[in-house]
Amino acid sequence: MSYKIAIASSDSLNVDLHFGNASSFKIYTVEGLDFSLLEDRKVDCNTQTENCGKNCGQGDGNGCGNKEKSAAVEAISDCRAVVCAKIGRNILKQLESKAISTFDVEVTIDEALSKIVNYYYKIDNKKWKLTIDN
Amino acid sequence: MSNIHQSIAELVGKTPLLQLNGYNKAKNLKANIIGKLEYFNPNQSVKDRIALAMVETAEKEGKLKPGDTIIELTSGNTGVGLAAIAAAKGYKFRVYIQDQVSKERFQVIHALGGKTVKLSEVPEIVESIEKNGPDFVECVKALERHVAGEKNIWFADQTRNPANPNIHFNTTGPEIWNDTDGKVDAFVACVGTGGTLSGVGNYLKSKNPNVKIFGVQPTEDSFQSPERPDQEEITGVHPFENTKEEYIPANLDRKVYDGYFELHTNQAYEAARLLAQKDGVLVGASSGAALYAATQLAQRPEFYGKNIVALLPDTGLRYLSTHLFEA
Repeated sequence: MSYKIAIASSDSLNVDLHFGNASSFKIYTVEGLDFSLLEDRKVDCNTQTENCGKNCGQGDGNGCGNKEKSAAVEAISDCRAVVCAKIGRNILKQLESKAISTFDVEVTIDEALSKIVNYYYKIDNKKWKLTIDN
Repeated sequence: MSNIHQSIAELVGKTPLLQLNGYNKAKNLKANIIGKLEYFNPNQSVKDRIALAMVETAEKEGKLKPGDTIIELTSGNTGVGLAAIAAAKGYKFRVYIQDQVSKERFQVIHALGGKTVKLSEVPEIVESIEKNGPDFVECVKALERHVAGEKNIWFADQTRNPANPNIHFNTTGPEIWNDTDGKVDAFVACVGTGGTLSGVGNYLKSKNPNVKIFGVQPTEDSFQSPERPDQEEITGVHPFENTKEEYIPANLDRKVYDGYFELHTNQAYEAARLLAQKDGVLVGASSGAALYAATQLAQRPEFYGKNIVALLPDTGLRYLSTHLFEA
């Protein structure tokens, strides 16, 4: 089963943006151990202007995580995980409620994706003999 | 006289028995298969019973106090049942859930106010899987290690908690006995944690030792494997015969059943589809499995003219993202 990972990057090479500073996310699609760039997805801040804290990425609690619904979180709601250089606590809660995992690292995209994809591959392919589906 | 309930706790259990006349006729059966419709529970599954029972037992034993967080390891109906009871009783709820289940399962827990934690985010569990492989018992121990220092939490632990089979002995079993007026000749149920089969089986045999009890398990090829990566499983149903000792659910009473059936997901689906079309009853995969097994029982001459009660655990609405109703 394939899934998507969102990356906050300014140069398509490095994970170098704070979540709140990303006006777009690089969306990668993952199949098994392979990943490829699917699209550069813009965050439609205009859809949430009422809720917009207009102070993204300063880490002072006045960004879009402060309001109930962040446009950025909505934009990546189909992703399994998001990778960025830094992320605010309020946003973390919104992502948690959508079951989106977060990784805050400052490495190259390739490094980040390789590690994460390998990790998920191990988790996903361990068959639970006595599965916890009750 | 008014009849207004004050909590969903009051609405758990007392589910109806429905003689599956349309299905029985379509299959030309000479026995009466009667379904116990557990989707009549407030959160549409039999697990509401054990969720309430485990919580109330823990309250009585002083293990669960106001403000505590209830935790459990599950992606299924028990999580939903516990989240709902926690909401109704004012507890917090946190469920540890596999990464790779459908988004709906996460959504339902969140909607009920519960928190979800993916297993990939629990280092002790990830480590346990690396070391011991996919061993559920080891993972439970890993979870216990993970929360060891945490205060004000209570782990429901449905696979080992005796409140699970006990509530089936005290409610599900007596309901079947009373509603059939004691005229029940066989009882069929799938085995997940083994609570239903054990509790109901022991109760019915205590009233009439001649009642026959049958369990249901999946065939080996109903499980996913490298050769069958997309195989859909009978959700919640696990092997208990011809399997490794450590895989057998702790809450299953190995002495309670007289026999068992083994069947494939496709057979479970087939039965559920026919039931929907002949009786207007929409049930899930494990219900289909119990029904398919009951059908095989009904075709044995010794059960002609007899009443066979099949426990149907949950609603088909929870399976719309599977191929259950999509041929």
